[in-house]
Amino acid sequence: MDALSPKNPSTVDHTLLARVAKGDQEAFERLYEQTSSLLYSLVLRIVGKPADAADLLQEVYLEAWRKASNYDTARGTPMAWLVTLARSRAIDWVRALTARGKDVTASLDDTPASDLIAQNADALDIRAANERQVLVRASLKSLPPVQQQVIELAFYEGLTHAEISERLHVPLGTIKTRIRLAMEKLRDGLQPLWEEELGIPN
Amino acid sequence: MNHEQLEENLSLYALGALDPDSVREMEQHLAAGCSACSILLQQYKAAVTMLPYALPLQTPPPTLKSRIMTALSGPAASTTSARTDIPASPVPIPTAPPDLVSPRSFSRIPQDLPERPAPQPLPSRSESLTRQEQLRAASPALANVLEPLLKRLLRRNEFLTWREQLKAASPALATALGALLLGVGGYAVHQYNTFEAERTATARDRAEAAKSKLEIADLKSQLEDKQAALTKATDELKRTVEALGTTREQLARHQEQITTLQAQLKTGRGSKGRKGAEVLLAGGEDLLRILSSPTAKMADLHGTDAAKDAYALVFVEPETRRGFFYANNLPSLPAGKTYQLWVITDKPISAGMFTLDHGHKGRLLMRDLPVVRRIKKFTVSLEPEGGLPQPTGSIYLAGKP
Repeated sequence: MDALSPKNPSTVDHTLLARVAKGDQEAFERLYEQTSSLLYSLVLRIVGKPADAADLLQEVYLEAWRKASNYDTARGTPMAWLVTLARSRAIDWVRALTARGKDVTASLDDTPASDLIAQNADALDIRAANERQVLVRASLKSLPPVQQQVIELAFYEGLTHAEISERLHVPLGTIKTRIRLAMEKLRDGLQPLWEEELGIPN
Repeated sequence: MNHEQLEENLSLYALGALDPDSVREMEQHLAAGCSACSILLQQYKAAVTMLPYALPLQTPPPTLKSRIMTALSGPAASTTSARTDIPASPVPIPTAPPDLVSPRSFSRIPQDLPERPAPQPLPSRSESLTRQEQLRAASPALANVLEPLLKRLLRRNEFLTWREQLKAASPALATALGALLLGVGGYAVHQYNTFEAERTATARDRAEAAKSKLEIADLKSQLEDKQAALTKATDELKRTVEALGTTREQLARHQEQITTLQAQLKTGRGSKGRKGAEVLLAGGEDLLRILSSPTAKMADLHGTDAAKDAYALVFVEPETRRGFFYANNLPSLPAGKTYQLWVITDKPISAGMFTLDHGHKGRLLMRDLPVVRRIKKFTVSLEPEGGLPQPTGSIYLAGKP
């Protein structure tokens, strides 16, 4: 593998973020190394353009640097905190652009094909991927396509169930049910991961 | 919405797919401390934040890290800096629309984001209440504030050693006052939590409405309403604490008078003195019984247009059907007039007359009150000295139990 191949994201140690909160730049550099591939992939998926994604990610990390002391371990893992922050800023970015009438991504009116999952993740990638990626991909793949789609619209486009219903011309109740079923399956499928995260012993 | 329906919405909430109204309702439910929902929500949230692991992994541009590390050295980027408003990025963001900076917080994501200031900070009145520490532990924190206050009040109670049976009754009073004070505190916490939950939601709505001035105006007025509600709750708490304080003073005054009268009784001076002492002693016992009763009901009376600053509290002990009334800030009585308290069931019944002391406070002990559940309202009117069987003058205070 060459130097540019993305690092496999894993969990981030609480103590690392605690050091960042104290202003430790070295710790912050490590935090960046451990998380930037995942967060960049996330932001890129939402905003679409690599240049925008990089600029936005810079803002996200600077905000994380400033707000690290606000991070509360009781509210989830450092990675969950960063994912939430990055997703939120990226969706706001897209909304602000949309509000100004700019065409942001190619997929505002037509329903995008589900690209939640790395479809052409090649064998090498899969083999290299850690347990987390394998499990999340497998859990998503096990969902019916209509359920994958609602998860995608909510998570990556920040749509509410009402907005999804409008977008897909599907009754509200159906959308709610789809989301609920999908979330239940994801929760069950990812149980080993969140048990580990929430500190529940096996 | 009941618990089951809310629980059904948890996964949508965790995914950020609920509409703002439902988000508000959910946050109130969670703030009220539903532990079953909190546990389930944690699991859903953890699952949601793992979704990006399924994406094809991309490497950020190699220069990004050095750009960020350089930006860190900027003075405003320091973690110790108290400023947390605008990202201190020295690198301009060419594709960002200029208005990105202000309405940034419009994401509906309910996860625990690091706090961003609301687009328009609340006026200073509620700022002291919006501190994160208080938010985190609202209830215990308020209890901590109230407890020393309560203890102080109770210390002042120590000199209430007038008669043996009252000495015995005083722990009960202490307990009752404690429960009352904490009860009011609890109400304020509830109001505060509700307000906080609503404020968070309102702040989110606000930014979302940035597109439309009309909506903004609407939200502004909503926010003002919430704030007024919080101010009102705070005022009510203050008043109750004040009322308890003056009740204490009154008890102390009773004690002094009783001590004097007891001395007079001992020396066997005149039947008038004897009678006075008996009335006062009975009054003190009534007051204690009412305030220490676990079943005592409280009503809050508000000033009408005739007396905007006035307020009053009524405590009623349902079993003995006795009550205690305390009013503050009523206008001074004109010559030849008195205030009369009315208990309104299907008709007004006089509960007695009172005048004001130097501090514009009025008090009244009530007996033979109607059955509590029949009481619809309490009012105070201005009547000719001596009182009347039916109210005729202007109403100054009114309130429902």
